[in-house]
Amino acid sequence: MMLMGTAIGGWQLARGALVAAEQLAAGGDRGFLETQVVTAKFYAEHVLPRCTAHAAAVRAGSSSTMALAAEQF
Amino acid sequence: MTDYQAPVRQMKFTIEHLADLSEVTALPEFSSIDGDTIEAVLEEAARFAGSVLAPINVIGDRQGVEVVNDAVQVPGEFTDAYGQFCEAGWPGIASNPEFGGQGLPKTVALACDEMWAAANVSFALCPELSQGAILAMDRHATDDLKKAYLEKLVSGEWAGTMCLTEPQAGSDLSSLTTRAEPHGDAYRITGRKIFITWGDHPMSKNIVHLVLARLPDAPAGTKGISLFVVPKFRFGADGVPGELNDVRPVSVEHKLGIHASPTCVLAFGDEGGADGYLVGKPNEGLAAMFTMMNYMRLGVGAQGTGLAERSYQAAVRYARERVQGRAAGERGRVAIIRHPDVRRMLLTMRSLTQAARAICYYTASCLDRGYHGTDAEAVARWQARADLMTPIAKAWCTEIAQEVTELGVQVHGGMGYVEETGVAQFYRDARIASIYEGTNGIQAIDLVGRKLVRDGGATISAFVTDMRSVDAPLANAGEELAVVRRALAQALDELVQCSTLIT
Repeated sequence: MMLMGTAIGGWQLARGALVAAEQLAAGGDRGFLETQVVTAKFYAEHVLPRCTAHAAAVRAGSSSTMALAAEQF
Repeated sequence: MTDYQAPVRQMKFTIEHLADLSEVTALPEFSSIDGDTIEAVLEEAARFAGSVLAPINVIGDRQGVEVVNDAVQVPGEFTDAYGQFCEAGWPGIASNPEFGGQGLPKTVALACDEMWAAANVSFALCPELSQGAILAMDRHATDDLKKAYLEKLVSGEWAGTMCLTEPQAGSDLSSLTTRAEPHGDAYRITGRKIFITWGDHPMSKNIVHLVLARLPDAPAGTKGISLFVVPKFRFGADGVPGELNDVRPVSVEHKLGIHASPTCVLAFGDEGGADGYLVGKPNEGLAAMFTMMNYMRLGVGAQGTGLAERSYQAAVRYARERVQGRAAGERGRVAIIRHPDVRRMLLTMRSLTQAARAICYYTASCLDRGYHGTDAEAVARWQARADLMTPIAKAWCTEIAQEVTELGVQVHGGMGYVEETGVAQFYRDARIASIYEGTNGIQAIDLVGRKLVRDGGATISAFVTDMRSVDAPLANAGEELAVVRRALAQALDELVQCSTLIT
């Protein structure tokens, strides 16, 4: 769930950055459009790497999660 | 106290470019909608949210609600604001024009929902539930019921609720016990419901409860649940609501947040049975309720997004004003927005919020294309994608709302922990969003156990293919977006590997 949301969010911000880059090249409003590009880059560098950690947890499966008996908690 | 200025430009950019507006307005249903209409709606909604709803948010938080003589009392400011909300026509912007609605696409209406939630989430829940009730009745009720109820709900003169939960039946609805006994051409409803949002209040002239209950001969489990509409005031022979129906607010909960939203225990039928009318087919109530719930789940995602945005705005304002510490190589003290750690927090808040907004609006756009499309193949494809996106929109956007509103408190330092700055309220108000409308754990089960596997993984594969198609344009964009391209490719690889494991 978190892996998918984080990745889909990254795809959307990348699309936004592409549109913004295009509009910037066409002489659009820098103040607004630059924020789209920088926000997407920040997300790519600082948020998207979470996908790798989420994926590792998904692959690990549930054996340790379910290993204890209820009374052992 | 904190102001709220809806990010209209960002919303419009998201609707146009990330929620594929041109594909939505290409549908016959929405052919008359253009960019100017959307801008006018967003500007007007932003004005209403900022000037009417946001200022009373803190009043609701401090004053709360109470039950006095079998009726819920809310702050007077809320009743006034609700009157203005209806006067301006906001309750029915996305509803069926046949019943007085304005028929806007959900893609646009959801941006307004986000604004109401950002400004005042307690207030926003009331019209949000009405919208769900309208939708469930529009799709499943008989023509007579629609005629009797829908116009009043669409105008906001009446409000709606959703009555599912019972003390022993929360996430697992199969054990619910509220009964419905046939009585003439209607039913008598008896039972007790809990956690009923806006279950009673004086803001609207009538309240329309949508109630899940069991018929006498119903099979056990979820296959024996039917949906009924139960008005707060019974209809007289003239068809006009008159005397009170047999529904009573017993109490309201004392909660961590959303203090101005009355969370009621409702007693149905203490005096022999509340008049109720069947919506949809007997024993198929859960399917009808899910129509409502799926829209509500997306609405909760928009709530999370709205609260995240509100917290971000407050944090930016504070970080610009608060002077503390020095910047390298400079004399004199600087505003904390100059410090890298504060920047990190603000950009985390900003980027997560924008991603959440894009996920929500895109989901709305999938729903619009799925429901209003004319080509059967496209309808099936967009509906399947909307089904896949709905649990993600609900759960991911409310999870990030926890993180963002928590960071909003952190940016404020010690003052964030003090209620006076208002950011603590956003943090408390956001907390419920990952719980109600199906906990985020339930959303994950829905995603992994149903939506990913039900067509052998075809929906997710098609979606990944679409997402990968930005790789070529990103490559063409050169060095500027190289980091975005690399990180996205890796994230999608991880996603594909994990979804292959599951499907």
